[in-house]
Amino acid sequence: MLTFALKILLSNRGKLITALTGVIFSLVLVNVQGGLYMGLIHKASLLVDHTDADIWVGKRLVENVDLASDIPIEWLNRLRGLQGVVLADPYIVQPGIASLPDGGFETLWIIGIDPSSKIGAAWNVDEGGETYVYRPDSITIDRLDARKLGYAQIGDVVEISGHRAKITGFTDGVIGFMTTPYVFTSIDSARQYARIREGYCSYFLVQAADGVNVDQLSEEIRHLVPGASVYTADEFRQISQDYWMNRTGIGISFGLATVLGLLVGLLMVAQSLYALALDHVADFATLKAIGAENGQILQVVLVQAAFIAVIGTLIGMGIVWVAETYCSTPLAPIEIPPVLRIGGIGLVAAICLVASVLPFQRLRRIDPAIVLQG
Amino acid sequence: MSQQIILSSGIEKTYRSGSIKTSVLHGIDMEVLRGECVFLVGPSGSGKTTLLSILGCILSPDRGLLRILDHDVSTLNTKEKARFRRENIGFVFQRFHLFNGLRAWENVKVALDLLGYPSRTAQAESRRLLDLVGLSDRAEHRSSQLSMGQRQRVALARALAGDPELILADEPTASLDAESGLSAMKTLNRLAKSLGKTVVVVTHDSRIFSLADRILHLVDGRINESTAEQRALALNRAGQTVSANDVR
Repeated sequence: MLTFALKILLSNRGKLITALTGVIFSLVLVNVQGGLYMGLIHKASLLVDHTDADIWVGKRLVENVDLASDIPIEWLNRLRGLQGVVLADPYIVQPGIASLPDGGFETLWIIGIDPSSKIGAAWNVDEGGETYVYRPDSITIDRLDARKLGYAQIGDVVEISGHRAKITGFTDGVIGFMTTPYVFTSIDSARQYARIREGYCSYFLVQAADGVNVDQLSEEIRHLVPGASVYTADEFRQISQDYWMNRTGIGISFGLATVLGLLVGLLMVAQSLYALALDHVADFATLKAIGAENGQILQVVLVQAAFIAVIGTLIGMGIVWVAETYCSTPLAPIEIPPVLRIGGIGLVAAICLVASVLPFQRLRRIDPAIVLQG
Repeated sequence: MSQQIILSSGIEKTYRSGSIKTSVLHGIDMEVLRGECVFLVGPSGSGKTTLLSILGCILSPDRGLLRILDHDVSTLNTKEKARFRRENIGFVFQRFHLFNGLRAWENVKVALDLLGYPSRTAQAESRRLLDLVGLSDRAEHRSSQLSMGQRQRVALARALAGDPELILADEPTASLDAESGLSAMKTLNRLAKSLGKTVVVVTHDSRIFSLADRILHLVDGRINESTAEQRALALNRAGQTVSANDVR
């Protein structure tokens, strides 16, 4: 029966190709759309993901890591004395404005780092090392953002909020959700560029001692600084991602596109299998006449659907690999977690299974008597 | 073991299309014994194909009793009838109904697959059956690469797959020229006799009447054994070559 099922399928190349296209289309869409979504949504918590802090303390009701408000540094002393805290340093995340040589302006996102611990420092540093942390009025920006600052080079000086800022390094692929350039600098320089009053910062970044229960420590910090929001890194990551999810509806738009893609794939596979069944009504009637039960007819259709699913998945995953390897950029990263890959394959299998229902419904009603009617 | 392979009594069949009813079979009583080769003949519309479909458990009679191989098949449901066909009846169709794209041995193997034969056993058995019908040298050919006569012999090999007791053939020579038709029918007759199969053939072809043990004439949905075909059969057996028309 395997040979029968496959030879019928392979003898109709056009319909096979249409069905495979449906599977490949669905699989690539699920993975690439899903990967783009994951890449984009991870950018919403980029600073949290790349900062080695266990707990983030910010202004009360802060909703997103990039959209911070000022908090008084004097609260920091309460934290530093707390048992289980090995490090608690100020951190600045605030906007600033750069004046460009052509007279234009560019909004920047100033990230201020405490030189003593360098917690929250730039990552993927491509050039310039940590100079920007120690040398006053020094900054590191992403290489892709240099264009926005007039194609700035190492050693160039730009003006941020009326203050001099010398570019001493580049990062590679550090682009946030809002695509506003991140500018990494020392906390003192950041205070100038972001016009933050002396004695204030955006966050306290806290590292807990080994073995300390972070949730419990967070609760203790909440009691010490009731005017602040205290989140574990995992909580703040989720809150930051949820902010953009809820405000922009990107989840719905990506999800809708994916669902539509799946529906199109389902229709293509179902239509192909159905047309294939119609082309071979006489063959299936003959099978029934010589004793095939509907269960055996279903086996034939399922073998065809499984073949389409397997071959479509192999080709589709190849295309996904190419897209992931060659089309993913820091601006539009494609991040496909294993669960998405496996889920995509599962969805394709489900599509093929569901698609086989339609032809089977037609085939189970075929009257074998037609083969005896000349 | 009963000698009675087919026993029918009072079989009636009416087709309905909307409010129009067409009565096709009117109380068919017939008996076919083990090893017999019985021809069903009659004019178009006489109900031959309908009767063959009922004998093949493809259609159900509206009324009457039908016992095949000691089973009351008139009470079987669709699934049970499919299983009964698969295990007990071999079919040879007018237009062969081979599966295009499959090799000759694969066409035969399909019937064995349905019976649940292990793949290797089914492959060996398919080749053996093709050898029986004289087509071992064409086993790897696809049906489109075979002549009409060869296709009919592949269909015959498929009908023998699984060693069924009963072979039903629907106009087996209608798609063949005179020589190929007679050759295919002789092959069917020879194999049926040597393997002890019971054969029921629906045919118009009076040239092959001499191969029948008995001829049942179907007219307006009723069987009449005492006909010109029977007399032609007797004369043919006596060495005279005549057709049914000659003795009418």
